[in-house]
Amino acid sequence: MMQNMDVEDQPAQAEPTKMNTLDEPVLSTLWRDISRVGYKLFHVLIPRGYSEKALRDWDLWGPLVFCLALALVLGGDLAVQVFIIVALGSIVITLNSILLGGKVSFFQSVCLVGYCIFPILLAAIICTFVNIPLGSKSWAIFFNIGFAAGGFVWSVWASVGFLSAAVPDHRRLLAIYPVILFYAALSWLVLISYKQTGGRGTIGGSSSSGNSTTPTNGTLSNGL
Amino acid sequence: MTRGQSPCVSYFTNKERAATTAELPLFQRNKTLKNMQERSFKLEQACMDLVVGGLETTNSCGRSLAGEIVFDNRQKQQQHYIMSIRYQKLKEEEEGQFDPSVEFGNRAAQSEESVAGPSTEKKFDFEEFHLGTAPAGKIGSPSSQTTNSQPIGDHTFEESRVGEQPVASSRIWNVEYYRFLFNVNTEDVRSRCKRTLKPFPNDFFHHIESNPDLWGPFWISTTLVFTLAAVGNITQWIKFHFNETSGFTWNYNEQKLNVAAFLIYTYMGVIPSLVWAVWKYLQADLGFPNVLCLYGYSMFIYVPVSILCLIPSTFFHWIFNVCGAMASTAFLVLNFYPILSTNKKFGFVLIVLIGVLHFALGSFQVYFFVGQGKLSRLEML
Repeated sequence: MMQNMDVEDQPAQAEPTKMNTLDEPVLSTLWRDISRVGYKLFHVLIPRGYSEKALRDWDLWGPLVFCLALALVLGGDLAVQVFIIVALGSIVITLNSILLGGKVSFFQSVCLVGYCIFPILLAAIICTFVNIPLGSKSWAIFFNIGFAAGGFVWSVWASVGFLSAAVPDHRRLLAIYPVILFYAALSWLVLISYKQTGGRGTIGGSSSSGNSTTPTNGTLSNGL
Repeated sequence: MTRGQSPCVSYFTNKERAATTAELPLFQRNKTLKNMQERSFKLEQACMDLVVGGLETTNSCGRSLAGEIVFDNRQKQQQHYIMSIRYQKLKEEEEGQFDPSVEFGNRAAQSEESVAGPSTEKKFDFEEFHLGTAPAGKIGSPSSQTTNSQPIGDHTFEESRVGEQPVASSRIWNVEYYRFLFNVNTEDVRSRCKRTLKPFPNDFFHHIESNPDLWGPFWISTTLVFTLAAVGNITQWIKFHFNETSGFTWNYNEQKLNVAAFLIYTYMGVIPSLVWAVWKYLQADLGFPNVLCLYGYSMFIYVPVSILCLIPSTFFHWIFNVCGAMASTAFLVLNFYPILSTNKKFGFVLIVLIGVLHFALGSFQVYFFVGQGKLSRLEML
């Protein structure tokens, strides 16, 4: 009798669940994905004992969103460089781990590297806000250096924990060094963006006179 | 025991045989059977002695009652005997004459990594080195590589290791196929980098012969690209901030990254290929990964040189870069020198060309530190 009831229940329940995801409000659909991204992000940045499981279902939404956000915050010229570095860099780092004998799935590693960009994104946002009042004072760069360095250290610390477990013991540094290079490159981009005070000016923008006296030879960085 | 008859068959009397077929009354049957059992037990013992001694009993022994017991035991004894002989053989082979191809082939066929596996492989490779038959580092030969041995003094084979990663099932379009090019540990990379700092003894090829790696070349080049670009800009900024009266504005020059990347990657991609092709034409026994490895590690010295160029003085920039170029070129050229065997004149010219090109690269790096921010003229190229 109980079995009969189960069999009857199942088909009746299958359809309502399908209809539910179509019928549910848009916000709840979005929220489901956002909460998944947030959950993974939390586990990546503040690793706990059971963080391995959280990363097992990788997704590339997080890395894409962070990469876009970083490109927007840094703006202009640097956006292109951000995209190139993040895309090529994560692929190269993953290939490096696999070639060194690591037992890590390709997309899982790309997902991890992408999620660990978040501290650098935070640093970029803070730097942008700090530079608005401080403007072009020359000692403002030390704030940038501090925040960029902090973001760098946090990113490296977060990703090293996961990546070093995948690679054999005596090759750990060989797998971690590219990660350090990658986040150093991104932090460097954050650092050099300090000249942009508030607006979306380009890096080579001629703010004052000097050697930008060649008027029509439009230097490559003067507009984008 | 009559001749021509097996001992087992003639051992039982007719009466006893009748007892097995219910031709006797029960009480007599039981007693006879009991006697038979006792005697078959003794027969069993006797047969076992025969078997262990190596003699075979005939098939008919298996048919009788006692014989079945003996037959069973005989099989077990035979198996035990065969196993012991195999064990003896293995022991002899290990201690005495060692036939590596047979043994290695056997182990590959078993496809199991037994506990004895690594130790015998170790011995195998140790002896192979004594015979002087170390495999040359040719491309596309992942199976012939990598042997595990303890470092013997400071000179030989410290960077060879067992093929820890199985390659047999990988194809050329799999990433795992190329693992043989990354078969190095942190210690190996460190020691190879240290070797590049001293041009003498010029035995770099000798050390990487069986295990060239591409990790070093690629990541040293990438590090150099970023270092040149970053330090170049930092140096300009430092110069600007200490010479406020010069009337210049410091602008970040992102072209430096592009120029550095183009320069280093093109150099590392094109020149070693050309060099390897020419050496192949000169019939030198040189593998392409080995040439790439040498070139890649020779770039190592440019990285600390760039970092030293943080000192904001043009004079020091020139000194550092030229000295770095000289050291790197010396290392490169001196390591190519032992390859010269045939066609000495052409080879000599080739080595001179290699040196000139490398020195040019090293000296050109001064541009990253000495320029005034942006080269407004060259940009239009």
